[in-house]
Amino acid sequence: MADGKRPVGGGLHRQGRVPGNFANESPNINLLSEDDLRFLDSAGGNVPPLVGAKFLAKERNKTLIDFSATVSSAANTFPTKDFKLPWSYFQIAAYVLYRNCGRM
Amino acid sequence: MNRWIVAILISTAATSAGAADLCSINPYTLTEAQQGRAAFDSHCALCHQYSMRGRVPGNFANESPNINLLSEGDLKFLDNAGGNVPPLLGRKFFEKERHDSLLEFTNKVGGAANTFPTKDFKAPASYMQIAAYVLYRNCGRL
Repeated sequence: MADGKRPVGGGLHRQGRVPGNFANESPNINLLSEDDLRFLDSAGGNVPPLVGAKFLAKERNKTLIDFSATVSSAANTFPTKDFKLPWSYFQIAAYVLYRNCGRM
Repeated sequence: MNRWIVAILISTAATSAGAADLCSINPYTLTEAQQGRAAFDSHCALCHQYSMRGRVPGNFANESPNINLLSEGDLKFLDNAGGNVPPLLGRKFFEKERHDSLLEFTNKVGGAANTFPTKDFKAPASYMQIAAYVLYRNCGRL
């Protein structure tokens, strides 16, 4: 990420994670906190992607509010650095949208 | 492409040029605005009034809801503001806001819920529902 902030569960490319593939994923899985690792383990090592046709096909017919809630409410559990209410929710949703629309 | 996806892309692009108009790009649905109304009426309206016209000192007899419905904390806040609550509706309010980006507007209007949480508040949806309601009212759609 250009600003150096560290996305953990989703990986730098928003492709998610799959079990046994950590060597090909970025950032390094060892950067995850113990809690995040525990969460990942309890999901069988899978993290859903937030980019791509399969993801967007499920999301594109949602309303803006539903989409934003889907992609940014995870910040309730995994707060980002310098999180600002409610601003950061919208910025996260805007970023995921821009990535999926090929604008970033 | 979905209507709101286009709206967001236009909004964020237009903001840098200062040309977006929130009424024309409004991506919120009527249902969401109505959900926002329920949230707004549960707390925001106590100070801003159901009409969104705000409050002015000495006018409580003409305002709704009754000022006695406010909590002690809200009354203290109102007192500290000299008894004034800014309107959220009308030309004076909206002229300042209509060229904000959707995110700026939603942050400004919905962000007050951090201090004055509405009933059954859900983050982040409630912030946006409140903003949707204020936007619909100002755009004459509710």
